[in-house]
Amino acid sequence: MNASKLALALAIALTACDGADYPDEPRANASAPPIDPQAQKAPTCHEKQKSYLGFGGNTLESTRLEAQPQVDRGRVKPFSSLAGEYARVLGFAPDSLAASAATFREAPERWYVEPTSNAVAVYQSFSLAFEGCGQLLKPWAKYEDAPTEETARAECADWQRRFWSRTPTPIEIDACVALAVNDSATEPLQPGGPKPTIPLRRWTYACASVLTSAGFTTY
Amino acid sequence: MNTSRRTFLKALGVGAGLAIGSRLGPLGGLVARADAPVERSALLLVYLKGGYNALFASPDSFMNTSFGVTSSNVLSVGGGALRVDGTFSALPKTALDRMASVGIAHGSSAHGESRHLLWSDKTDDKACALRLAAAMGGDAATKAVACGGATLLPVEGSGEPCDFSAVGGVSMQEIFDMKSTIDALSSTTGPDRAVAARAIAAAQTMSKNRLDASPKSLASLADGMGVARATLEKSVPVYDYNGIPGAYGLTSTVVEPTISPSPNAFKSRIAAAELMIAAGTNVVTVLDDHFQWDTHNDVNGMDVRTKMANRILPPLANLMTRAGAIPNLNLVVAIVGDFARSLPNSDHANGVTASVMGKYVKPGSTGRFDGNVGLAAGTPGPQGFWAYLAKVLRVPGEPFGPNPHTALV
Repeated sequence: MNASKLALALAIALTACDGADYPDEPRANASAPPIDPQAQKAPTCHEKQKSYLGFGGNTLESTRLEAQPQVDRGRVKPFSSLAGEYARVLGFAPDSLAASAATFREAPERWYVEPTSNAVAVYQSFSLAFEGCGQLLKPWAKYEDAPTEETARAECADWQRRFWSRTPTPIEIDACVALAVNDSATEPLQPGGPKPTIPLRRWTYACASVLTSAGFTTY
Repeated sequence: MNTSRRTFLKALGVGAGLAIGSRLGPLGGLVARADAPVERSALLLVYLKGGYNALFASPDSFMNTSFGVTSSNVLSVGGGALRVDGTFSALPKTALDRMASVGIAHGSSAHGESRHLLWSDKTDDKACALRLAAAMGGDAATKAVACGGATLLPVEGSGEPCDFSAVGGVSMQEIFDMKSTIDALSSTTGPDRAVAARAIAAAQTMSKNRLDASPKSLASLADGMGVARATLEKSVPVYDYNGIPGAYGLTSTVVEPTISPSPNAFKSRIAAAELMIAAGTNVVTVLDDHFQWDTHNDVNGMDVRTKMANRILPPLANLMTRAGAIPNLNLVVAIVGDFARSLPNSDHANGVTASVMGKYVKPGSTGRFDGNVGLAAGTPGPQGFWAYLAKVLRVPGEPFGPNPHTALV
């Protein structure tokens, strides 16, 4: 590739609408960048794209949807990816996953359907997570002890890193810890009335909440 | 799931009063009690993507001239106030006694554009079904559902996709499996429902940054988390949910999407509709496949009559009969599609007449077509149709403006 071609390729890459460095969510180990008012006014694809007139007299980009740059990049993971995704973070896929294809709207053969979510899919995600986390944690003696602030903080942060492939923020860790330490201490709707939750189930609820969150179910 | 009703009630903390004061009816619904709650309404909107031939709601327009309409295949209903296609005789008499044909002059003969016009509020382009569900109120966690999906994208190039973003806090929840839906509504095995609700609340907090960064592309997940949490926090009416698939002759709990080629596809969606109506949902939509109803060259109407008789009406009649056992329910059923079919080749007309049934429906028609499949001048548009539905659903106020079909209430 000669110098002029390289320069052209670099120019195209720099002006492309889909930059690879779009901000996702804040990282705990990075200070939040100050809000730049100019960045809020970044040109949209329509504003900065080059126009091409097609043979029919219409511009090739005329049907391209207008959208703000660097937002709405998140997508729901398709059902076809979930077995591998659970296996990646848990070491196995929950047994109930195979029967969940319809709930997660697996597309019929030879069709493509953009994955979306809904309340039932969220509940099913939680059920699968509860099943998977229960199986994951059961062999470990440390989960026979009730979670404390300290132990929950360490476990929650570890799960979040593993399930989300990124470092969690303090607020995200706090949500998991609160569930483990306080909000799961009693199961109110058990037959015969409220009962104290056994430690393994408390850990399981916390683990499942991490595995139900968008850090795992979306990309 | 194998849960006794006693366990279910205790688990939900519904209280002894309900447990003592009610009993299961013959179809699994509750029978009325002395302190029965006030009437609630529900809409089942059956939408035939592709079109809804005018021979069904306005057969007299084509008597002995087109679409194979003759006096032998026309049915008089509502004490003689309305004539409809004879296939409707499969529906319960109580429904036929309260049936109207509602004209909708949307002016479009393009699939995508007509769908957009029919489903979108002209004031702000938001989904009318969601605005209606929000206006109906009530305390159900899931106020609007699409059984088998809400895909209304045009198959032609024309027309904008319909906007199903939440209206008034009500989002469209899609249902694709009855078993997992029943579990979400009422399961008492596995995780404790109250703690599960808190766990999903924690997951919402953990998801906030990612959801905020994708307000459109992850809106379905954000909405779904909120509704899932609310569903777990609320009790739902006692009903034999697990018996529903079998009552429709289904051996699977899968709710087939609109593109499914399965012969049980529509039936599975109607079964899911009963499930959600029983659970308290306000607006239930069921779409049927475009390629079933875009019936070009069906010049004698036999294709659509056969599909109506074999595919649509049997499960619909079953639902209407079974829902009749749900106490204090004002169920309104509406059938409509993109547009009527034009003459001579059953192509695209530019308006449609809906068939609407419900206890507050006054039999009659505001949608009589002329012999060339045209609606009369002055026939109201889609906004008027939604205003009419709001009226017969007894919705407080006028979320779509005044009802122009006053003769049908």
